[in-house]
Amino acid sequence: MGSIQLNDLTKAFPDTEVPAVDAVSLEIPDGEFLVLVGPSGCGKSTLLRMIAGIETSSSGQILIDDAEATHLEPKQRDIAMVFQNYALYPHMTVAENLHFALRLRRMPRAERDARVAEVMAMLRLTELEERKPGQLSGGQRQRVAMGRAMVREPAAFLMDEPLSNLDAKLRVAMRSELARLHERLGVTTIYVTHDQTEAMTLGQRVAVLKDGVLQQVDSPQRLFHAPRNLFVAAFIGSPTINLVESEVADGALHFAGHRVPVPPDAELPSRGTVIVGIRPSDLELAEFASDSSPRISARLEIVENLGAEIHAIFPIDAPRVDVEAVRKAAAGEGEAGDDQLLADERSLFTAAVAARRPLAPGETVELALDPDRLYFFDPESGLALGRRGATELVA
Amino acid sequence: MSAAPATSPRHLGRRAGRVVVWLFLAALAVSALYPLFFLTATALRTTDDYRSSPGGLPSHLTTDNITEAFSVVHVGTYALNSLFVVVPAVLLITVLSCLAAYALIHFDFPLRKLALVLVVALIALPPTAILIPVFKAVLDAGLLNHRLGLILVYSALYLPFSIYLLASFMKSVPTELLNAARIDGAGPLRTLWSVVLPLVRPGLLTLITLNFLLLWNEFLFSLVILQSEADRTIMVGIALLQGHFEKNFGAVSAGLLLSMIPPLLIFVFFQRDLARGLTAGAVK
Repeated sequence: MGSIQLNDLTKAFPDTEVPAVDAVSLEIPDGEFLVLVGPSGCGKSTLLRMIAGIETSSSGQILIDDAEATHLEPKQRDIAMVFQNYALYPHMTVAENLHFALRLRRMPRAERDARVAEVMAMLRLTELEERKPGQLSGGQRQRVAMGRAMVREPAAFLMDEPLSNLDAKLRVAMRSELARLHERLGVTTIYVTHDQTEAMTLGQRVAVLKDGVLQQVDSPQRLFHAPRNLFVAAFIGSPTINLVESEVADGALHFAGHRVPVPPDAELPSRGTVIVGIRPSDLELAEFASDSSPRISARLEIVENLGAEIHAIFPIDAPRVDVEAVRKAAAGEGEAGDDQLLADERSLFTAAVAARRPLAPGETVELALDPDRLYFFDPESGLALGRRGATELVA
Repeated sequence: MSAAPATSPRHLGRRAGRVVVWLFLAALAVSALYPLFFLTATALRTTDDYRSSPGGLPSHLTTDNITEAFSVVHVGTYALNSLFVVVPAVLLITVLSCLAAYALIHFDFPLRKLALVLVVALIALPPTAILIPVFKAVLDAGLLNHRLGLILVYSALYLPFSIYLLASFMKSVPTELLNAARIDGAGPLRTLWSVVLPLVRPGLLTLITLNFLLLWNEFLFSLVILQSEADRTIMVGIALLQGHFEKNFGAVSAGLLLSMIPPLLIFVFFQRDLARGLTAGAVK
């Protein structure tokens, strides 16, 4: 059993003004796979280390299995952690690495051997038993790190970007292995990543963090379809959501010379400025869409053919939505503007359309959009507006 | 590239340059090896033979001096005296510097940085400068002419350098490993023993070897603190005998030669780890 509850958990490092983790409250029921996701420096690793007990908390409370654990030593918390760089003991063999924690608990030899053997068999480590970490490949080390966590049969697994040191192909394979493992063991898992694909595919629920503040905790589907604010909308989804500032007037949205009727149930204010979000996948070539849907015409600048899907990138005659939150989300790892090679003040839109016919750069196409699938945000606060905004933060 | 003909002026010039370098290096080698040869030769010849040509080759070899080194010069007793001081001191320094370096590198406490700076600053302190205060302290503690006195003085003198050396090794142990051990349930001492020390093994062996060599050869503090004839350490013992045994120069030389054996053994024993310790960090 291992439920974890965080109440207003805060971490302020000395010499910094903004807390690294700011009053995070979160309840993780027993057996859940929760993913903490956010750009680098958002505090997700700090939060995980606080739960592990290797980082102290400035204020707030951690409950593990409903028992106060805020100030307990890591070993009293019954949690296991998988580190980004694996942190295997380099001078011990694979078997010794797995034995270490059990030996410290003075578990009888026979029981220890049985448990280690079982885990090694499960993770296909048996042949590597006598090797040292230096003689293992990245994927094998990853498995040993998992094994070291598993032999302890802890109340919860904490994983800090465990796949980020693997190459792309192995990462995808290990991702589904991790999902299977969780299915099989059913142990509460908190998984930190900056990769939204990992977050979406692994998490039963995903917690999005920015600047130490929890933005939204929800199922992957709801994060995608009902983002609570601009940051979540821009962070989740690939390619990134298209955003444009738009005037609301006469029951229609006006942007870049286009006019799109406001859907009747959108619950938008009747006039004013809103930021409209359109997922690239919600744009379709007009010839394959229903006649009634509104269109915009686009002169394609870049065409990326991915096989089943084509990403068509085109400029929109409107200023870039330069909300700080969006820049941060889109840039992810780097500085604002790192995603751009050429200086460009225009807004670029991406349409992800099914590859039903070839497209070429320079071609002008009509794109249909579904008004029911538009997202609206307040330009000031960045909060979702209207129908989608009504969804509450589930914590 | 085609090789220049062996007689071309450029080739000859380069050859001459190389000869100069070789001669220079050979001179250096001789100046380092000659004293050792002098000592070995003197130890293996009679005193009369030595007087006829000091520094030259012996006319015939003898092992009498070595027997006399034990019976007259008492090298064996001095060596034991040295071991009784050096071994405990090296052990004490090793244990204390392990604990101190571990704390200074991997724990966070007030004034940690200052403590590190202080340790480094203390290395620069010339031992001779504090000889008299140290002597007074040992005297006041009632430890003059006690081995414990010298053991404690040695530990105090060699701790700063030892902490500094180990700290630089411990810095290379990733904090993440210590965190992993903590989560696995290891306390701080257990982590030191099972994770940190095995990883700094080359550093540890380097430290033990260096300290053994330095303390074995230490003269000044030993001379001042262990003044009774029965407790003299080997360096002091042999040095003080040189005046008394002017007639028996060979036996003294043999004693000195024998005194080199223990450090040499230690060096040979740990030689592989020592080389690794001194070059650690050069190649990842």
